[in-house]
Amino acid sequence: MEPVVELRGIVKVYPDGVRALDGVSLRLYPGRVHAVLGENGAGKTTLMRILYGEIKPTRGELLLDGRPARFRGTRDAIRRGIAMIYQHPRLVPTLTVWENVLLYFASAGVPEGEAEERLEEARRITGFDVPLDARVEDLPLGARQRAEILRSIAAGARVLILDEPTTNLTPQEFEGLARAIEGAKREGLAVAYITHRLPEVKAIADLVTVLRRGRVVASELDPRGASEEELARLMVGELPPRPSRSRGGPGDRVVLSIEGLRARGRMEVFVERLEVREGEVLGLAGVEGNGQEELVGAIVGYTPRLSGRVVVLGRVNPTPREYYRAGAAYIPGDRSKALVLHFSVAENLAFLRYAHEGPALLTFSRLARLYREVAGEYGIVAESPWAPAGSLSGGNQQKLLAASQLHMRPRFLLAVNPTRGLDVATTRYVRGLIARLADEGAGVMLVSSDLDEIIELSDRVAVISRGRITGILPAGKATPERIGLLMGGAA
Amino acid sequence: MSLRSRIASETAIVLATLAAGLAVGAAVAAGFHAPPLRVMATMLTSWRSLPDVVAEYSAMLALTGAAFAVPVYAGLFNIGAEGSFQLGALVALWAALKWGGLAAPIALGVAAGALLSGLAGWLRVRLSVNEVLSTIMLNWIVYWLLLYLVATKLEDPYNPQRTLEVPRSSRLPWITIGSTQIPSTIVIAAAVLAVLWVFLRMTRWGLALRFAGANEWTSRTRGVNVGLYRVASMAVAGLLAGLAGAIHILGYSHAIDVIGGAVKGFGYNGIGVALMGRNDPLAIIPAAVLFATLLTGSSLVEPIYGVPKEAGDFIVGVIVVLLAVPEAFRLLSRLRRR
Repeated sequence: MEPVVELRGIVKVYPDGVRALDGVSLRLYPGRVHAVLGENGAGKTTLMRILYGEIKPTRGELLLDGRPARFRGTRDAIRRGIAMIYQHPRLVPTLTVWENVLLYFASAGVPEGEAEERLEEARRITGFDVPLDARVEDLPLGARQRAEILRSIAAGARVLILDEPTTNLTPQEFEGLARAIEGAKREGLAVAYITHRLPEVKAIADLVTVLRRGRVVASELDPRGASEEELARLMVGELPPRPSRSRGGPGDRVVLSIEGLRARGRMEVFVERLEVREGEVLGLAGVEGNGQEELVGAIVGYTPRLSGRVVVLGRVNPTPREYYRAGAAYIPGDRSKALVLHFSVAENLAFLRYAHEGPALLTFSRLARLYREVAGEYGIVAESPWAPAGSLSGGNQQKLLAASQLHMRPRFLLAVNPTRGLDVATTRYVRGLIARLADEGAGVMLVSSDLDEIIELSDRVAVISRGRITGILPAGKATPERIGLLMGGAA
Repeated sequence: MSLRSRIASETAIVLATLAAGLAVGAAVAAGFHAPPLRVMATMLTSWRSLPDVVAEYSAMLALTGAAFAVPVYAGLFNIGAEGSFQLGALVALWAALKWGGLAAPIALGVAAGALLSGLAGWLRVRLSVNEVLSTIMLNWIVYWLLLYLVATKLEDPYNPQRTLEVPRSSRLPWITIGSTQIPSTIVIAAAVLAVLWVFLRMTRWGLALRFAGANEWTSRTRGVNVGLYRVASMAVAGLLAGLAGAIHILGYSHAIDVIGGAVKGFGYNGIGVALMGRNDPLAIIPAAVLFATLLTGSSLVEPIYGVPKEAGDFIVGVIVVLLAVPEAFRLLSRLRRR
């Protein structure tokens, strides 16, 4: 079969000397989904930005329908039928969906008169329905992504590039996306699917090319013929073992207990009863935005508790300071919100470790010592302790956040989405840390929207929906189906 | 970017902007038919003819610069160093006249400055009153109060153009280096800024203060009382400016004239000093010395070269603005992001 586009021997050296791509070739075929698999920093996004005309390769060529093509910018690429759906939607937030569609059509050269008809056609192909008169900023991220896909197909795209498309999606939304990709395939579109998530490759891709550190390590594999373990090894080289819980069973001591708690942040949560014992991981599953944030805030004590009791390690309704002083720790879900990216690695570490209690004098040598201790134990890679935290990769930022809390040797840990956006190796590593903490006798409450993570680590799984706990399942009975039902609010 | 290359690029920016400012200054001087290079050389070496003035201005500007810098760490813009400075001077003068000695005038001057700015901080935290507006208003209240008291209760009956003088027992000693004498306020200022730098960079509370300003959410989740730190940062700012005012009156001017000229402008100029010093207590010291040198120098260009004093002030303004722009831009963009 003839490819629609072909990238040949692409080399990209950034002005700062970083060699992002080193002779990468990739072919996209009509009616096929070609997954580009790789860890963060493998060069996947750089390659796609070259295909989309956003950046120019240092060397290498681009063939469109077998003929050399050169894009001066994304507008050229769009007009030649190439569409890119970025990881984070790039619609104009203050305009409506319809206005965004027209803007895009203007760059693609689609006459305005055909707009409605074409959108209708795209809707049929993808099965997506997006409210056209809604302002983009009022829409959830999933809907914005659907709007972007819809308008790209309506504008006559022949090549659809999806860059880590599931970053902001719930499991249900993923199914919708999969159906839309199926529809696009039937229409003969070539799809490039950028990801580091193995199950998605198995579920969606017809072909898979694996990148590692800017080089192709496997080209056009059949994903059905390769196991997840094999793909993972190709992607990261070697892999730390999957974390395993020794599951000695929970102890007698209750480290967290919640009774009749009512709290209000953006929504109201009410929890009749919830307990975490020492040596136990309690998973809290749920679709994001169902009250997890409020519950977490009420446990740590920074969201007002309206009534009821939270007891953390014997401390009743603690303030945040009392919470940490009692021997509890907290890994927040959003690392860019929890860190100060323009402060140094060492300062972030020292603040998260010592803000509630610690030495009065934090000299440079003491900060450096703390950094060395923690970086060694948790494998944090930074240029130096004085480099800004923002210069770390996402994985290292997350390790920094987790390490600052684990260094407290907590007897209770509250962890929220501790592996979101991390590559396979770092994910396993961080999960391993949590498993080890519980095995050593601490109680853990793991709040995560990643069901695999919940099932892998938890002894019991509680499910939250619309601010209420809709069920608690023991590990043996916590299957994705049952959890999914409870997430939807079924009793 | 590594720390070393950051310092290198920052140094390059400072030198380039300084050169640009000096070039503009030379051009202005040439426009008044004065020898451009000699005018600039005079302005940059004013400490040779007026060492005591340069030393005193450096000390005052370093302290008022710090008074702007500290609240910035907590996320606030303190325009009130002017008022705190004048109130500190006024209270110190009054206490010196009443009791003599150094302890009471300094302690009361510092406390008055701290209370004034602390009030603005408290208004911001408790009632969401914008601190820029409240501090500017407080500046004017202090200024008119000062003019009233200078011309009435504190007036010197034999020299009605100024207040009574600080008694001998309340004067800070001067330092003799070779044949020149400079006020000891410069030593006090340097010591205070060094302590401040250690506090901000090397203590848990300094770290908490900087996090409170940079990331309120994470501070709250870690048990840091953000409001308390904000009020405290303003109180510390008032303390620094109040101290500056007190030691200025006790160590240098000894009296206040009826138009307040002896105590005017230090607070506002401190903002430029803080911005030039990239808001860092140690870098503020050379920034203050540069500003003080140029200010003193601008008063020399008229008697020596016949260039109007306004032209000298214009040159100072150009240089300071150029040097302050990068930091001002950084602060504003950070403020907008919040």
